[in-house]
Amino acid sequence: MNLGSFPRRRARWAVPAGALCAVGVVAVASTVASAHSVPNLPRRSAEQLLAGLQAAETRPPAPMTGTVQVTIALGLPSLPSAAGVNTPFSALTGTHQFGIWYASPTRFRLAEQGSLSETDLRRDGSRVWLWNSRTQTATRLLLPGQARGRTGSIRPLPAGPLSSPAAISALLAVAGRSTAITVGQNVTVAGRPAYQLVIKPRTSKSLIGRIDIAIDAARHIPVQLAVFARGAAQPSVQIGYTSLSFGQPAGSNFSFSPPPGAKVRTVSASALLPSASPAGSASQLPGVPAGSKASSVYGWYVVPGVASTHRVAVYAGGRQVQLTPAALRQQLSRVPKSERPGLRRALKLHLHFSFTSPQQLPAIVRSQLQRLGVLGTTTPSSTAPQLLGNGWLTVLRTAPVPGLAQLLRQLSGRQAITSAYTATGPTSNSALGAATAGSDLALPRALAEVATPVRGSWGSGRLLRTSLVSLLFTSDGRVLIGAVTPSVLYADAAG
Amino acid sequence: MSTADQAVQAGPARPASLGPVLRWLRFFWSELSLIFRRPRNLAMLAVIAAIPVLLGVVLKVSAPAAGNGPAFVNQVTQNGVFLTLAALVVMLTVFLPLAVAVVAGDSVAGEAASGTLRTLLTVPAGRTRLLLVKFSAVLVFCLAACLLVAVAALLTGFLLFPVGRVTLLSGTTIPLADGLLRVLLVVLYATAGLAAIGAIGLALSCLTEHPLAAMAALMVIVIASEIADSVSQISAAHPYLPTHWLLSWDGLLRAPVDSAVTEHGLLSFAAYAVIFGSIAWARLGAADITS
Repeated sequence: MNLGSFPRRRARWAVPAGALCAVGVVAVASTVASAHSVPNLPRRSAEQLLAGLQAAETRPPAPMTGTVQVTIALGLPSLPSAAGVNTPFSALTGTHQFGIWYASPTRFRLAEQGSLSETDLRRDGSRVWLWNSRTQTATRLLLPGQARGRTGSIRPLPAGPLSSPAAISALLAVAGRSTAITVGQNVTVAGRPAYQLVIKPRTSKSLIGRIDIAIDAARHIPVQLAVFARGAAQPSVQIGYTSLSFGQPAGSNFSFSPPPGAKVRTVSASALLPSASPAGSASQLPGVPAGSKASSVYGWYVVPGVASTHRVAVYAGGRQVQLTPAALRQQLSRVPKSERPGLRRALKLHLHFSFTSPQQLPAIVRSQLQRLGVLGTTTPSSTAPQLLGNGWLTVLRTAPVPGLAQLLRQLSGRQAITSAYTATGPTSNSALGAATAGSDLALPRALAEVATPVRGSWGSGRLLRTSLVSLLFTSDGRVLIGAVTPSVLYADAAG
Repeated sequence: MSTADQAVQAGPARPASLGPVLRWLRFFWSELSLIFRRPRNLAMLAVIAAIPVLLGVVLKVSAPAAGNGPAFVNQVTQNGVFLTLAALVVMLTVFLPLAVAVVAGDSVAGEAASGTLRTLLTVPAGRTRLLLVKFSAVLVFCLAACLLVAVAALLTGFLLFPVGRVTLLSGTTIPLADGLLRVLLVVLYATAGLAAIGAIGLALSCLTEHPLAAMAALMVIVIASEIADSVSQISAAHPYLPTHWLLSWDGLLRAPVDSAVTEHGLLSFAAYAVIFGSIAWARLGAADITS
């Protein structure tokens, strides 16, 4: 056989080896180059970056088109694949991609682009549509009258998980003694150079190691947020743009009419939007109408303005109350001297909170609201989840979940049977299944099953610990969850 | 008649009268007729064409509830065009890779087993050319299989279900003609994905003289890759799996078209084709063909 025209036999294998290396180099280079290139930018201090963020917040977001990738790796144990558990859990793990088309607060489109599926939220003026390709359902969301055609003071949703500064503001509210804020290495996000703000809790009881916030160098908007568990090299949660371009998106993105054959529903959106308060009842005057005293405040923010025109706006009991600068000054003068810098800083940073419980407000704001009479001092109703602790050690405690205590007892009972006879008969399984059938307990049950039994002076229950989150089921059916070490949960469970 | 016989006849008989391009085409044609005349392959193609028809009949008889079953299945009853996409989703996991495995695994090992490879290599055709022709033939088979699914599904869908404007994943509708164009793009993308699997099969086929071993090895690789793709703990490795991008044509069905994922998939297929194509080339050139 004539092999003379061929390269020597061994040498031929250099070609596939070379091809493999080339592909590997290209693959690594493309990911590394985009993720680790360090752009040269003028030096900025943390204060300057915060001031930039603040300035960007006062401007309306620019029209843009982008893709946001959300990667969540909480290190949850693999759950028993009971029916119905996969759905909520698929949202808690893995990578999710969102397309964002944003023209103005009243014209935007947000699309969750799943594998072979898509869920779209489109707003074109007063028409808001939710589209689900899996179920082929088009849901029209009816906006309350006053929200039509204008946004009120609500930040537009698709300005994103990032442009909405709630999370960042919440962090800045606890800045100071409990938090260290530094400037990290510059990064490239979505092909754009960005500064990086590194936020670290000072307490060792928090499971959060650090939070990196990438801030676009040109536009001073947050473009990436990464939450690292203590000691972890990879982020547990990362939200960031993978592509981002500014400019008016095509109008076809916003208009929508239900496709033929789709199921069409109409739902009132008043329950979904905090701006649902009738504008007429919002008081522009200092002092608060007597009727505004409410046991639950669900929104508090500073209306951005120039210099002294900031206003504190409070949503209370479905009504919006705004304080004029004069009223604000008056309130400030009543604040003890030692607390003033904190409140001033809060005002300066244009904090924008959206809370479900007064306990989520910074203590200084809470006390001010109580003085104003807007926020009652009564304890919240027993069925609402409660926030315990503050800052990094905030823990959410639910009211006793119906059926959960019984479920926990059954779980521990089954475990005793299992250990005694090393067999779980179908009867015990079906009994458990019957107990939880038809209820919303599929997820708690799955979580409780993989949790480990714990007991202490605080009581007993089951603990699930991941790298970033601790979850405690107490024997009375409450659930405590927080980015804290279990000892904090135990202390809160006892309290 | 094997490719070798035809090539031998074509080669020395009238070498001067045939240009190199024509000789290539002739070689390629004989390889194609070898694949498409083999009763085994024809039976396989018949099964491939029957599955979308079966799927259409089943959906006509009992439509699934909304949100259940594989993607696109619940849209079939409203628009027959979706039978194509539903059939591709169903078949791209096992049936189509299996068909490709049978053809690609057999392409070189089959000739080695029957002894015709030796004859084929005595022709001054060049082993590189032989390999290129073999891969091109596998590529054509991939395209034929995907087109067959699409055409069978389209005919069934047009017969059994209403047909009209196509609803994209984004909820917007496009005219039927545009919809069919997008279906064609999906078919071409699926062909590229299967061709990457075919390249792996061709490399395996060069490593053994037993065609069944190459086919089985390729199916093991495909199934292992699919299992690994569903294990979330190794999600960092998922983009590098050969089957990971097989269904990533969904970007073609969005408005506006999201080509980023599709391009990534095509790059992955190209990388697999280059790596395993060069492995096949190195092996076929370096090895003594023993039978």
